Amino acid sequence: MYQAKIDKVACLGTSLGLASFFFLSYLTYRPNRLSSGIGLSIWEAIPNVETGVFLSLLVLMLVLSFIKGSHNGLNALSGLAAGTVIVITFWFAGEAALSMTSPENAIARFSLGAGAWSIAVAAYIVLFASIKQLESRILKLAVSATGPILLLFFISNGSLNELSIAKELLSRKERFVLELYQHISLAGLAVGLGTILGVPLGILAFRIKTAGKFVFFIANTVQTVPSLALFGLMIAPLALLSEAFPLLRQFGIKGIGWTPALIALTLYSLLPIIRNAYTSLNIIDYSIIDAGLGMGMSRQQLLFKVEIPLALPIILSGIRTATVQSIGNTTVAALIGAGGLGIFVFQGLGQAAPDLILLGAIPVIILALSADLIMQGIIIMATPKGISGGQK
Amino acid sequence: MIKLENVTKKYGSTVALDSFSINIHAGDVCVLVGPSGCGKSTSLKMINRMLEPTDGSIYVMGKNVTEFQPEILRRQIGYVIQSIGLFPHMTVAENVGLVPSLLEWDRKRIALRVKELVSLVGLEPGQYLEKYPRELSGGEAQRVGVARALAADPDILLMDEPFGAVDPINRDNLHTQFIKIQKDLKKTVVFVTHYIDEAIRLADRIAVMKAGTLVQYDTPEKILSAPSDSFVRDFVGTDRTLKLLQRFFVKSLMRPAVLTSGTEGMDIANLDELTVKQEDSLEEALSKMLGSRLKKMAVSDDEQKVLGEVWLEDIEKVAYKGDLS
Repeated sequence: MYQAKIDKVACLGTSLGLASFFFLSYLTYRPNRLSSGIGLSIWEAIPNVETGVFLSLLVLMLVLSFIKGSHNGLNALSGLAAGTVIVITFWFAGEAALSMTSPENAIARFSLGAGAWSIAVAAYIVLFASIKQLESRILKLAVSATGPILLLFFISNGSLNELSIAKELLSRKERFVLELYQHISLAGLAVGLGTILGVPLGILAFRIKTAGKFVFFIANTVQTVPSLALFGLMIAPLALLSEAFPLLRQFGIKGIGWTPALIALTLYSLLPIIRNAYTSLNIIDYSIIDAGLGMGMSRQQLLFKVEIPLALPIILSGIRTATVQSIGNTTVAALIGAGGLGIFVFQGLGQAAPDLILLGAIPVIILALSADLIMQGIIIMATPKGISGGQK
Repeated sequence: MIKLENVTKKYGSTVALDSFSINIHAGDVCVLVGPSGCGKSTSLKMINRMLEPTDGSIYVMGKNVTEFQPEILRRQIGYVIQSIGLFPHMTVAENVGLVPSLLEWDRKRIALRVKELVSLVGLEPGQYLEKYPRELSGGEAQRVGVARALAADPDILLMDEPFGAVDPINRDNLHTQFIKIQKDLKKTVVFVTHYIDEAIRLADRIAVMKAGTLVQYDTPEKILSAPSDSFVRDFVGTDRTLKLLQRFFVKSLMRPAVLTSGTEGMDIANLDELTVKQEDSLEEALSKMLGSRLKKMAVSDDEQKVLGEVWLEDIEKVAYKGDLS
């Protein structure tokens, strides 16, 4: 039954969007890359018609947030409107930058202002709130995919090229690809090693309680050390080691660079993986093991037919947590010379070039979100049908 | 069929079983009963080598259990536990077909067997085979547990408080079903419970245990009519004579009908209260007779046709002597 009902989350999101629309600057204009910027409001930056479209979409979202309730069609509409708002926020900014750039101010920079970012975030909140109400999975996927697909289209056809962040990217395209690759492989390798070490440690912690206490003490302690400090702590011992055994240097083992970063990131990824591996075995009801053994299953059959299928989803969700965390932490690894997208963040900080910071930060966010999504998919596939209703 | 000889089991300094011996005959339902910690579960678990004795020997089918590889032994013995232990990620069909698949039966044979068993325990195969354990009620799950234990047609069935976790009505249904199935299958069953009523209802022989030793091992009738000591007497309860009457049925005491007062003129609504059926227990008959102050009662069939009569004094004799002689 359809019933008009206010969606508080969507309503709050839209209000944030409207407030940003009116009170925050949409574009920042700087005569050159490093000079301080002048904020432009939406109506100063883009033509009236486009402003009108923008505002009407926001108003539509506001109205829908009051009446949509759990109605499928209205929620789909609200989600699509929010997706469109995200797209046009960037697209219109790109167009505006293009129209205001001329040969005589070729070094001028146009960046997305605080308003543009917070409108995008606000629209994302509304999108999320609307999708949650949708019933079918396909509809959910369709509504949530529309925005990103359109955005990719505008990015690839060059509509956003005049924005400062795009200029930062275009001027260091090869470096970006390299660091992106470095970032993914560093984070991925750390989680891989974390899994290879963490799962057996989790099992050990489950089987031998005293070992478990020790394992958890170490893993917990590591987790409390701030990432920056942990990277720093790696430097001294590894430097000494490579000095003592120069041969190690040929394998890249030295105080700074890849190795200490990999070690620190692996240590970080251990706790969630160990904890979940431990929990996954702990929650398997003893009666199930008893029944399995009592019916004549061998230890091995029990492991492969019962324990692993039941434990796998939980182990995987530990790896999921570790992956997302690792992608974030790898950013900091740039500080000790390990490369990765953090390079742009720290360069941007050093040069006071906010768009360069974003060039590093945004891909990290996108990487983390997509890794999370992929892992979620894998977990759903790995969860046996009989227990899939029991856990999320 | 199953023999335990001077079996002792110690956990550290605690003695769970103290030189315990018992001989369980083929086709018997032997119920091990006693208070918590008397060692009944422990002795059950040693039969399929889930536990190893500290001392003594155990023989199954004429062979010492240590001659079997544990897995091989267990696949020949059905095993049902209180918490059932159905595998949550497997359907009913997969759960029931587990031991046959461990024994590498071919698929068709497993599928056929699974269907047969699920109907045997009173579930509709079409409706239940593809369900997962979480979609079953407690009683249904317990039935599946029994079906799973019977899957490979083992001669021996070990049941560790199998109906302990279900509500009284369901337990009653399960008991009826169990008795029916056992009548056809004639398995050797070792059944552990701490409910004396359950033991009396299901057992061919009851083994009353106390602190790791066997106190009395006899038929339910003997246990009730001639408890060997005060422990057994207390354990079976002060109403043991009434319980004894549960073991005998109207059919065995029925005399030819010579009743003068027919059912004419009686309140039809109360007719059920004033007649008994052949398959009613003597306890039920006694209860009805006491309730209606009748000394003789008509035995009728489902159509209210009088088949004979049962006398209060005959029931009293059985209660006093403990048998039908």
